[in-house]
Amino acid sequence: MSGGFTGRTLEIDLNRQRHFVSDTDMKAAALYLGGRGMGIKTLWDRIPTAGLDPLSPENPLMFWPGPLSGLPLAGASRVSVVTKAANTSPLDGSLENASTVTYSSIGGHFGPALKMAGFDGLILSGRSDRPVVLIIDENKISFRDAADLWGQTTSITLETLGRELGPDFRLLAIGPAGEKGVRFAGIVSDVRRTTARGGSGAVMGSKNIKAIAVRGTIPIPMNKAEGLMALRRDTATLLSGWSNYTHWRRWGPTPLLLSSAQAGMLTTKNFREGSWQDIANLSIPATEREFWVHHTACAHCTLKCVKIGQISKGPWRGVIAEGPGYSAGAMLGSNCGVSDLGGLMKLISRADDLGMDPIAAGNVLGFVMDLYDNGVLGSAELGGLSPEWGKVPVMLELLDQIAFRQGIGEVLSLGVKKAAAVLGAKAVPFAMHVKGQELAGWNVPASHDFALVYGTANRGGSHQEGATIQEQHRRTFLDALCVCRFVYGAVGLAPYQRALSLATGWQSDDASMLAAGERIWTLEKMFNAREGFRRADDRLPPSMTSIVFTTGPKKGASFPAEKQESLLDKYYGDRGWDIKTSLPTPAKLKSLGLDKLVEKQS
Amino acid sequence: MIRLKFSRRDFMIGALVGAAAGAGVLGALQRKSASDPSGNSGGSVFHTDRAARITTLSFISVDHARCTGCGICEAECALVREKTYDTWRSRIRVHHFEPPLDIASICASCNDAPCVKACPPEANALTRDPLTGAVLLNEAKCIGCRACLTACAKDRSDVIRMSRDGKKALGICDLCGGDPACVKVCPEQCLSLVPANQDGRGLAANPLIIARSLAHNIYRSGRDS
Repeated sequence: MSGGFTGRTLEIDLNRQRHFVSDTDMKAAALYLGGRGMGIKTLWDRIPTAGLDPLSPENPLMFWPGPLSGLPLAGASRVSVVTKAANTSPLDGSLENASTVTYSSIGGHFGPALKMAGFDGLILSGRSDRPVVLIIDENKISFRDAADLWGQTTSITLETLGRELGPDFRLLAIGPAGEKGVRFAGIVSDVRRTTARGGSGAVMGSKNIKAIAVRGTIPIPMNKAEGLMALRRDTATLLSGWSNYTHWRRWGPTPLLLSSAQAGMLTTKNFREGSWQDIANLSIPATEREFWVHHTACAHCTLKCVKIGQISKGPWRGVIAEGPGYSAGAMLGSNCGVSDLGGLMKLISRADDLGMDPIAAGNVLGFVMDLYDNGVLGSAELGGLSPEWGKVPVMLELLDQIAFRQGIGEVLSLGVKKAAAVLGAKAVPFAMHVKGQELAGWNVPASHDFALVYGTANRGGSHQEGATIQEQHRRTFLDALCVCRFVYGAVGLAPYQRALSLATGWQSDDASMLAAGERIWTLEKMFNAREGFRRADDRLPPSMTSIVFTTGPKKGASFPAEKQESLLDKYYGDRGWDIKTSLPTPAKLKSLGLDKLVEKQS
Repeated sequence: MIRLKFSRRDFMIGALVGAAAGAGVLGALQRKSASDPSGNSGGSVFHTDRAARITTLSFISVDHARCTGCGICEAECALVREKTYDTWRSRIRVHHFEPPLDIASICASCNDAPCVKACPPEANALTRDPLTGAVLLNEAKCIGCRACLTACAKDRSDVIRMSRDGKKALGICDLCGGDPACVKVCPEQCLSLVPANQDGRGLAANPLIIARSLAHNIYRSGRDS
């Protein structure tokens, strides 16, 4: 066994509530590493045909740490959650349940704990006949009946389980949104991180799993322990020398709300504008003065980005929430015209409690408010609600209706793309998504690169993937190692490349790293292609090209439709993909060693 | 109006004191650590010489409110003291609570040291460091009777646990002989080595009890309804 891996993968068959431990496929691990990479490889192997219902028992829900997880190394704290997405769909609607892959990663302590419990991966399949909590106490796997927790918020669930199991377990839980199959439900962790994009919470809910608890203390075998410990020191030194180190530790990603508004990249009122007059209310220093009470860190990291606060005055007094991180702050804040910090944090805490992707939740609410503002939907269709911009109580009511799929929430729980299809042609231009995935908090007119990021991301409209091919591959490599983007931004890739070599004994140079990234990216692309996604699915909604900023520092900015096409032409060309269809060519597949894998299933 | 009900306005922390102690029993599975990193590879990292070596009776005090739960102290302790990255061997442990709080737990060098009193005379595995006052565990002498563990779990810090094979006690901080590695490495500086002008016993409390009082201090506005 190579270091960096335990060689064991935990599989749970929920139909029978049985578990078994299989050998980790080390041949695959050498090519796909872990995390997002092992996720797509396993998904490809286990879903041999297109059109599987993502909420069916056959869709595996997988948690993959990486080869660096569990090592005392800053940044290596994440875990990738990979499954077939619950919310995406191609324009070609001939296949009812067609959807993309989704890979969502969260920091904290769950990934390292799972790895140190002795497992390279956790694969859930089937469906439990009753709600349960899965408890992994190193080699002891058990199920706890979750009848008492079903319907509860994530914070009550986490508190209850924390009290019951003691403080050494790390927890993930879904809220009512996941239970009810809301298409953009996420899984919330004990440090208030959500596996947000792609509806992994709905998949978990469909399996009747309310929560997962893991305790792990077994150290991971390492190839060169001594070298890794020196690297740990060097990485920490490098990190503390980062030019942003001091203020990032103090403020986390929150100040991005201000800089983004200045750059005209913010999302305001359903993407109409790139700046927001009240953004100062929602960011530092207000958050620091009025809200934050505690900073929490992911495993072995000194950046402590988890900013936990409590509202101490006004109508939302007592609310405990995390953030505002950039995405949640932009999407539930400016994108909905919210002006007050208390209201924003109440919204974020509610989205966390209900177990929703805060990005999609903010996008969906912005969509409804935009429809209301433009007279496409009136109070009558909304059960008497008047969702004016920034009206927090109405937004909270809508979030509840979505989570419990009642009233207009039934339609909205499908996400903006499918909701617009139900609400009629007039609603379609207001749905801001790519492939059915709600766009995130970075606006396009003043930053055209994001058209490519959103357009080509394999999980649909995600902001995380990078705007150049190389950067996409670097970040995919990071996701396979389950390394944090923030720490990567501070110290670069080199420490993690070196850590991989030291942990596993494998040679890792720039070329092999980028090749691993490209292999993973391309297999994800082939998964989507099989489900029917083509070039037309890589475009932003046409209404994005009709937006012209009317205010702010980037007044007049717009995103021309022809720019969209030229970006995609160049991108496919540079990738060696067919420009017309966007499909990777056979030669490209062969060069990545994917030809046989793809052939086997076609 | 749909509204979820919070049945209680209070935090749930603290209802099960002692749950942490149960975690001390482990499966027998023991993984071989990699070879001992020799030389100084496990030496102090991040920052150096923040605390001058203290040579009087001392203990480590923790500013719990500032702890971020990163666990760097755990890893450092295992590396420096045990030359391993197996944090089960750490003499400082970080526990996570809900609502989010992390409590670093470490031996408080209680003046009356119930652990030392509990250690059977025929074993005599626990003694006091005459210089720092720290409790010293002689692993070679430990017979694994768990008497010290029980004594510490009752009304004190509950820091002692058994080794993976269940044969030896672990987890008693010896203050690194007066220059503790964790104090130097904590990025939040929430650990400090202080001279003992009071009974360290005053600091000794089960992490759950600390978390309960801290929750009311940090989350002052209680639970929203």
